[in-house]
Amino acid sequence: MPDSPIICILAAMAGMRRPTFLILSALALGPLHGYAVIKEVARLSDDSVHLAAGTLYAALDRLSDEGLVEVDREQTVDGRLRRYYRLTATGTAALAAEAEQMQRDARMVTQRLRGAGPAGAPSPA
Amino acid sequence: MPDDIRTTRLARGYRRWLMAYPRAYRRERGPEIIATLLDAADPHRSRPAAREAAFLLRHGLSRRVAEAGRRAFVVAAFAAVLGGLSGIALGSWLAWRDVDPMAPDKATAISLAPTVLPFPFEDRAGQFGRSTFWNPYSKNTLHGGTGVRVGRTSVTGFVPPGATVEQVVAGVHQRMRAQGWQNVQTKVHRTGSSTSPLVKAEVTGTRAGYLAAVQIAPALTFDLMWAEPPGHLRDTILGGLAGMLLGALFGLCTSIRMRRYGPRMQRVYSGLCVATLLMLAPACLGNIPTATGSLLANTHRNGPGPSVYWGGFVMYGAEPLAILSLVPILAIIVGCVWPRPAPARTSTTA
Repeated sequence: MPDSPIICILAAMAGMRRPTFLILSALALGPLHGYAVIKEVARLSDDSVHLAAGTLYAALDRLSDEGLVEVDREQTVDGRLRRYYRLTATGTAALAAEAEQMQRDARMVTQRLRGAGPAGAPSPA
Repeated sequence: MPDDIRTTRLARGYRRWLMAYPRAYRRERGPEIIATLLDAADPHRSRPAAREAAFLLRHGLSRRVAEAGRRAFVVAAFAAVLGGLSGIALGSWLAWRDVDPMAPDKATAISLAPTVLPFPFEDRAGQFGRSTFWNPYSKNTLHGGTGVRVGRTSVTGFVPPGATVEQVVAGVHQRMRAQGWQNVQTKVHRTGSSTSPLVKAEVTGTRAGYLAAVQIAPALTFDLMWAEPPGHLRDTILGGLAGMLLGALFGLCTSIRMRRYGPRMQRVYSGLCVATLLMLAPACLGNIPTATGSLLANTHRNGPGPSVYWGGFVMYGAEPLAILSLVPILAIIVGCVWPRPAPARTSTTA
């Protein structure tokens, strides 16, 4: 499902940065290796976020230090080492909490925008 | 180009950019990162994309910073500043090395006076030492500050009666230009009220390694000094940059190297760094370059003069302290190169 504009704005304002949120979201369905994470993040963001490998591994290092992701397994395919990452229980909980916060904030903003009426003017009581 | 050759070249390119990461990190994560980079690369690419290279460089250096620790960069920053200011002094000193420390001789001043003064002048020259309070080498010398090259030899000229300062300035300026003096510049200072202004002027120029400064105040004085050597500014700047780089590397490398020791030696290392800073600070602060020399060692006193950028290291007290700073620096180097003894093994009996 493509991100709605409000979700994009709220992700930018939330404690978790958008690339981090998307990386954790990409791992939510199961372990993935680096390139698969990059592709999944692009798909989830409707091609608006393209992670560079350097950025991805800096984020994975940080998330690993914070205990939100861990290495699942290693595999060598066509001579290339692939390391798969998965969400930890803490990572799953953090992602869920972040998504719930963003939904609450999105509902609040949408209601306020509806209540404001045309051109931002408050609607009469 | 065949795909396997293209891929090999691409992988080689990525490996080069991965050098930005620390060695241990490269050993552990390098193959995985290369695999991801190759998977994500455009199929026709044979060289890393600029965007990828920039991110690898940025994150690699960030990784190095994180592993080195904050202290390493604080030490490196201070060492860079001290190194830069010391390098400025060394660069300036090296540029001035071939210039006679004594002021130009009287005969030369008399022979050059007609090329500067369009009016009659005295047939004797005076030499006034630049004996300055901050320079211990300038004491008891009539020939100028030995060690800072700013002594001057003076000839007094006679201003024609009724000539205004502006007329005298124009005459001197014209004479100097006609006689081959280069970079001839004039400065006029007006003070006092508009009804009775006080006008002083200076005309300067260089020729054959000499600096001529004519002061019209309204008495006419021609001072002959040594000009700044060619390449002085370049050598000073290069010295500063080299000193800054070497200082930063020294600070960074010693800080990282000393991490192999326990807390007690770490405290000793920090103490040695502070001692070095305190000992070098007076000379370095005094040597901060300004338009007239160094911050606490002005070489343009009593009129225009050449700029010298090592005066801060000659100052009273600053010089012996700066020399003494070699002691903690050497102690740091010894600590870094000293082989660390193997941890003591306690014998156990079955």
